Amino acid sequence: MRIGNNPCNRFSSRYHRRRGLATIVTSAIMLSAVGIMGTTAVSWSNSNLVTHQEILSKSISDKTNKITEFITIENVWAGQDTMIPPPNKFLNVTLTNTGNIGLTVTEIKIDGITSKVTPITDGELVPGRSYSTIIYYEWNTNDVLNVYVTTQRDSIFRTQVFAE
Amino acid sequence: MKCRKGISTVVGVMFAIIALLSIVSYITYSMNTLDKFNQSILVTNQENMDRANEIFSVEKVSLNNNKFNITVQNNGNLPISINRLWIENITHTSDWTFKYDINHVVAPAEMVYNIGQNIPLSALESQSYKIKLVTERGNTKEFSVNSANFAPLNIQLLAVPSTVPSGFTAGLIMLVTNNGSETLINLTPQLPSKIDGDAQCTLGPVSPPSYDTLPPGGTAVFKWDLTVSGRAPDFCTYKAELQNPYPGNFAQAKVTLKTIKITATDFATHAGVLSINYTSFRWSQGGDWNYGWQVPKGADTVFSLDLNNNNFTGTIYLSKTTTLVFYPVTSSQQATFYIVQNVTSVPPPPTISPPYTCPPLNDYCVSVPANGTHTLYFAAKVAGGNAVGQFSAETQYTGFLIVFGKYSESEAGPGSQYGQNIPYIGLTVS
Repeated sequence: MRIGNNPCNRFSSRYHRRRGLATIVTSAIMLSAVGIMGTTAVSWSNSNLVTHQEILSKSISDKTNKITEFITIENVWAGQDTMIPPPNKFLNVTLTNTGNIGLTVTEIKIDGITSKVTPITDGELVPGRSYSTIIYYEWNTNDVLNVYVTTQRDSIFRTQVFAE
Repeated sequence: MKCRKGISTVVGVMFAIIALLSIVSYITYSMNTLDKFNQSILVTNQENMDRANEIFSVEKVSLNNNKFNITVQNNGNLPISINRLWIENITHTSDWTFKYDINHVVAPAEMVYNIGQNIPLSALESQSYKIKLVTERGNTKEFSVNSANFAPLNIQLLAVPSTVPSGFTAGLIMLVTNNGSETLINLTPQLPSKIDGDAQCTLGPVSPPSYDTLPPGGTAVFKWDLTVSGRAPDFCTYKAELQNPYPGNFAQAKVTLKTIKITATDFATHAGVLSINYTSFRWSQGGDWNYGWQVPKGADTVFSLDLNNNNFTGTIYLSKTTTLVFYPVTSSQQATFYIVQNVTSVPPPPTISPPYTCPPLNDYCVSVPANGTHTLYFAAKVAGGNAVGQFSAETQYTGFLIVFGKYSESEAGPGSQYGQNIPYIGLTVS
């Protein structure tokens, strides 16, 4: 066993002297390149994953909230305000948030002989709370009216009432 | 070269581990997120199922002290919480609607009472209301409570039976059917008023006095006992309506008096095969026939009465021994008048023409057809004789007809002998 003939023998002074600097420089460059490339790749992929996580999280959250929110159109009654001149007929619509999360009612649409969309600006409802509003609409006795309630999450709740 | 590859391997492995960890953490996060979403779907589905399984019904609605008293039955398998009560007055001209927050929890298969007793609303029986109950899960139950004046109802008034003998009692039955789609409350009938007829009619109390509620399709039954007396064919016509009625919403019924009639078959069973029409009984001492019960003594007297043969199948041929017999109540001098074929009462005194003789038997001269009637004459002192009998004692007489005969095809033919005593005739001889 000859120790001096082994090219990988770290104790061989001749071999160490010839290739040490280049090897170190080259290794450093290679290592740096690999490190930079690896870090970049990992960072990029992590960033992508985080982005996807956020998208997934938001999507899931939106969908969860949307399927969780629930409004009961508790009562719709037709009335007439005799204190003002015609057109003075109205519908009193009462909604209740019977879901588990808060929601915001954005519009109420009355669809009968004519159609009327009423934007709602104060329709924030915590769970269990009710909201009533008067919508002026010229109904006729025994009209069949469809009432649509739209929330900020684009859920639409519908009921049908007789005007009488 | 092996020593250089070691570092690369380490670095590569490190990056691989980092990438793997990132992927694993992403997948784990995604799985958790999806699991949460799945859980929320399950929760939402459960809530929707609970909402769909929430079943309750309004069992009773009444007004107690002008307050609604609503009874609700939980027909589902989940507890329900009724937390809102809407009441709309649909009679009032201004058509008001009120909302009340209530809190009634009903366990499965249980009932909750007195809903509406604690709200500050005074309701009137004469008005109609639309009521809506709302549960915590958002289910609603809407119904209306109307007074009888809200809409015409299907009212029938029946007299059962519609014809009665004098002194008997008929049932006056008022049927009120809720042919609307809303529950009626507090149905109370007025006492039916007699609007026509000469019979004396007396109404008893109504049973039941009222119905608290009458659901759509339901029928309320009120009954009075009606005692009717008078002469046939007198009648009473009654008009019945509810208290606080819809205008013109009433019904009428007529009860007519009738004479008791017994069919011949029943009569044969209960009164005998032969019977007489007591109203046809008459006597004569020449001249007119008399229907009274006072007969002068010492004069030739003839009698006539109608005999019914209640046998539906056979003709009876009467024997000459058929006799009208009178027994005095204070002496023993009976008076006997045998059957004759006919008499002549004008001119007085009455005579027998012809006597009860007829060929070939000189007997069975008169027959009464099956289910028929024949007028008989009694005058002869002896069977088949020509001499007319008379009363000699002034007293009261109890009389009866003794019939002898045979059911046969002909006067001379063979037959089944039949005899019967028909009582209840009375006379006073003076």
